[in-house]
Amino acid sequence: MADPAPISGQLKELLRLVERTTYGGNRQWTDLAESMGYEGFIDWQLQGEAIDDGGLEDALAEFLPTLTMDPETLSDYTFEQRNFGEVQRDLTLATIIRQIYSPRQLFERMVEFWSDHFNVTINSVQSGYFKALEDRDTIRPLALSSFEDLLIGSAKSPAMLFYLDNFSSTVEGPNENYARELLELHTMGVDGGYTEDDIKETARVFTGWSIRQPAYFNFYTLIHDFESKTVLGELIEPTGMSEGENLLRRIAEHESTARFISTKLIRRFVADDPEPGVVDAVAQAFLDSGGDVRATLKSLLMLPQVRQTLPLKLKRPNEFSASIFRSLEVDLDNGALTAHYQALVAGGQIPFSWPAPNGYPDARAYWQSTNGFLMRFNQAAALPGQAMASSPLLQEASVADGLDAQVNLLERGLRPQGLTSDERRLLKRYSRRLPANQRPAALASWILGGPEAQWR
Amino acid sequence: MNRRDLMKWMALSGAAATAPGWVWAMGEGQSPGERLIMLFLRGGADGLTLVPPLGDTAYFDLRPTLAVPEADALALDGYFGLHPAATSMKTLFDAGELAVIQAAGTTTAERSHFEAQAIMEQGIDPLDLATGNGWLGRYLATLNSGSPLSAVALDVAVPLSMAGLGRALALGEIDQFSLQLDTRTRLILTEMYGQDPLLEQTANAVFDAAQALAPVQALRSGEAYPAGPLGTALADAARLIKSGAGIKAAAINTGGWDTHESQNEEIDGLIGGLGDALLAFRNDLGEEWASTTVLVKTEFGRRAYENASLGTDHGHGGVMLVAGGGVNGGQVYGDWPGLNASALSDGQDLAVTTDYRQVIAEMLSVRFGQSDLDTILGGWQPGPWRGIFTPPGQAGSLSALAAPMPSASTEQAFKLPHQLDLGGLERLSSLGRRVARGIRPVR
Repeated sequence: MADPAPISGQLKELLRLVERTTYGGNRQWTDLAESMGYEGFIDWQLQGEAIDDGGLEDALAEFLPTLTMDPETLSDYTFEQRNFGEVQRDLTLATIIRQIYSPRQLFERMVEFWSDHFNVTINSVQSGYFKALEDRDTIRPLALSSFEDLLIGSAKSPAMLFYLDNFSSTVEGPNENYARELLELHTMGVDGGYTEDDIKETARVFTGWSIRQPAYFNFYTLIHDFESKTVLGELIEPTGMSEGENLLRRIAEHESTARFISTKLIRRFVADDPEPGVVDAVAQAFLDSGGDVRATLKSLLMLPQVRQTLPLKLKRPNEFSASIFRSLEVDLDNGALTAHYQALVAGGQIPFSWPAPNGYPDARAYWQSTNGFLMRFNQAAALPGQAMASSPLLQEASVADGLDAQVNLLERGLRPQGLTSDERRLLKRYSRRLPANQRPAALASWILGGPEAQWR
Repeated sequence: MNRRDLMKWMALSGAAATAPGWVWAMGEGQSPGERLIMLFLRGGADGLTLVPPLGDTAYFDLRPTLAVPEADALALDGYFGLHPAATSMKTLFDAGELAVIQAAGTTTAERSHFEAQAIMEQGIDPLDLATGNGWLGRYLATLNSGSPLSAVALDVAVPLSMAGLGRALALGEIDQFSLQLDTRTRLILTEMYGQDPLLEQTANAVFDAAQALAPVQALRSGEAYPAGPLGTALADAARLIKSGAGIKAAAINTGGWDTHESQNEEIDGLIGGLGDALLAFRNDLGEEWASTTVLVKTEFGRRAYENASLGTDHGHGGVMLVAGGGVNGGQVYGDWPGLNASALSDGQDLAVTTDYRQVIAEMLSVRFGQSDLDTILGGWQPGPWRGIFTPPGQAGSLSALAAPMPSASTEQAFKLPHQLDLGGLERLSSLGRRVARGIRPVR
């Protein structure tokens, strides 16, 4: 049997798009993308929560009861009834299930992006309680909306108010923690043009922004600093809560913010070191659309330079592990969840557990570690064998006629971009002496553990 | 047997898979040499609480609720004290094996965590001089070590300070570092990664490390360390040293020091845990402590005055600690600039009187015999040595020290869940397939 013909440049662009905007491709998603074309696929995925999820959210709500509790019920359930670990467990499970199985793949990618961007570390029962509500009521509903809404939603979320201590910031001694990270990490970037004095003044603006029990934003007039402030060269008259809201709107549309957010989006979807020309174009789309997330993303993904850029991103541990389950078409069961969670533990990427306010790193320099590749090798070696019975791809490969047919079938499922000639040669050489029934899992392990599978 | 036959035999018998590549590079000096443990306190540790300046009246004015009361502090030298939770540090200090450098840090006042850490890890100042690699990495690159375990991060990733030029490995927790591949898989992966110049070295390092760690994993810890990641990392460092695996440097991170709010509730456990872990490490090492140096640094100190959240914001001057058998301990080094308004950095923070590189330079020169500091510190010129370190072989004999007092403060209130409870989720089975079947693009 001959090797499959090389695929066209157009199809390669489309497959790269799938790899960038999802947690990994598979046969079904290759077919979907081919049927829709490049722009059609983007437009489909940008519909986010309008995409029929096949009952996924309903099932999650049924089996993970804390996901849908109102703040009072959840507070009572967590603190009074002492179910301390439940809220973090449910949020973690929902997050990893959605990333692997939801058809709203780009939406889930953006939820993860904003969860990193507006990092809130779960390092206590209290922070887990707040984070779960913020994930449900702020990050998810707004993930594809406008940056300004996200920023204001984050600023008023008990999760962020608690995490960066603004809840206790008063006129008597403003707490600078939120103000600094707001400017450095959430909006303008460290070189965005603000000063230490701007941080101090911003902290004064947000005095009184705090939490009302159990988990609501409240502005407390009595602890607000009612003197005028100057931030980024502009005088702010003491009007109370609107000082902060107006300041958030102002910095949300600042040019430094546009560049900072655009750079991070390109870094997430395309390459660690975004090209200046690409940043210019995406930042312009951000400004032109008033920080509209959909418009900015569409502009990014449609740019010719982006379409032509080869896979330069080393998959992060969660992307790597999720892509294995997706490409093998593994069904949801406890074995898959346990294995995936173990990969996140071993790889150092437990959801919502990065300890600093800058979120999990998004750079090869961090994730290309011995520890990380140990996890990748072990996962790739173990999972296909474990998934043999539940993977339609491996089942079909086990009855395919001959080694070439097996390799070609697995190529279509696991590497639709095409195996390199070296890979194909090695795969055949190493599997030839294996009993036919052991070949599919071994071949899959090698394809998924190899270097090509680490990039997207 | 010719070379071709040998290769074939090795492939079939699995010998090629089990013989670590670095074995061929071994054979140089057998002396274990000097080792460096670099411990980074992430978040900006409050030097004014860790080592309070009890003799400076301005301290008590600036910190009306957070100042460590003189009556509670563990007195050091009549001017400075240690925080009351630092009983184990006090033991090390009194034994002459721990020294404090007060008012140390970066000359440039950089109050962003990430910028300040980037400066300190690269061994530069200011950040404009960024090199992209770390001072520790540049030091390690001057060594000619055959061991794959010569430079390790006891963390999931290699920190910037160690990155760049050497071949530092990230080991995570040593007991978890277990490679589970059959011989055939190991061989094909080796060949495949040989085709990827960006990833090849990492793949080979995984194979080498898994081999080299076996004797380390067989060693058990000799001491009770505080529970938690810091204790585990130092226990792992001790096992690496005691196993004779050829370790030259280990990097350890420990977090939680960003105490903007309710500082007193958080910092007791942090300080107690740090001291207890260091003392346990010292006692665990036995004679090896004489040739081990621990350098403790943090990106900045905290604001001289407290905020209304009973915490402290980002400041400038901080504290460094050094410990080891070759440390001229029992002293607080560094000129004290004072906390009077006129002496503060930008009118708000403790000033820096000792550049953090001064301590690194003296340590590398005196303890590690480095003559080419220009390469490591980018041409920055240190001042005269302060006498913080004694050269190898000149330290007195080690005396027995009591174990850390078990204290409630080192208990971990919250643990990362390493297992997920999946009870009740069996009913979700086949949901994935149902969802996949239902995918219909919205038109």
